[in-house]
Amino acid sequence: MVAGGVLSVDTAARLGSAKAMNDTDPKARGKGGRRKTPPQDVEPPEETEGVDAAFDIWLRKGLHQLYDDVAAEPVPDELLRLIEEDRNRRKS
Amino acid sequence: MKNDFHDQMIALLPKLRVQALALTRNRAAAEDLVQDAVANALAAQNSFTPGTNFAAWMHRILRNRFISTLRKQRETTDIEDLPMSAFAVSGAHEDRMVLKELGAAVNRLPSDQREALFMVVLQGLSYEEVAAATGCAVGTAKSRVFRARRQLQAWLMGEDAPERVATTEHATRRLPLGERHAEF
Repeated sequence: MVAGGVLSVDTAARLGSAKAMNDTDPKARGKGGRRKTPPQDVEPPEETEGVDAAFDIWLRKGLHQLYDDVAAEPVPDELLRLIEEDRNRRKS
Repeated sequence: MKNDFHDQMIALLPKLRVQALALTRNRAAAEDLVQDAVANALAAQNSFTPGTNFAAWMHRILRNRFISTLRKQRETTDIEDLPMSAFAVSGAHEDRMVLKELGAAVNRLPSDQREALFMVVLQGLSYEEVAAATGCAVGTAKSRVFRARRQLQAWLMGEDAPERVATTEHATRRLPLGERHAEF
């Protein structure tokens, strides 16, 4: 594990990093070299600003691995019954 | 059409489960939340206008139900993380450990960010759909997803100190009143 992080050196290296490039991107910084803060009426920043593209791919894959099976589990019969009973009640 | 209403609801159940999981971080609580939300929606069926955005209507009902339950319970302790045994994960030990850390990190995100992230990544919703489902502006939906991704990157890659919760709260205070409600 990397000190201060979770991913191993190999994993982090495989992900690579575009952050250094983002940090030097003049568009990412305002006057005085400070990173610009999005305005209060929530004009969203560039979606990739400060987010490494490789990390984003890894994150998506990881989230799908973690949650796809849970999301795909069959709906409980009790819940389906609740809906069908309401449907039948309204038909009659 | 009454048949369409029930069919739409059944078709949406998997997505409601994902949203409930994002909000509760607990499988049992997520199932309960979905059931409660469905019951509420069935009772309020007459208030839904056929032909309008059913998914957004239903997602909002579930969200409101979660907020209502949370306020009643005044929960302040962490809900259990999803145990690794819940996941059908294969692969090397290190991969499983990393995924476990990802799961733990996701559970540490603010609820609104986690919810938006799940909707975009797991459900494939557009930002407009997320905004409609959560009752916020499109820009707010985008910001939530962006912040979630950036925070996870910071935690998992150890690049920056984690954002303080106060940052989110501070941002919340500056949002219009209608959107502040969403930042629970």
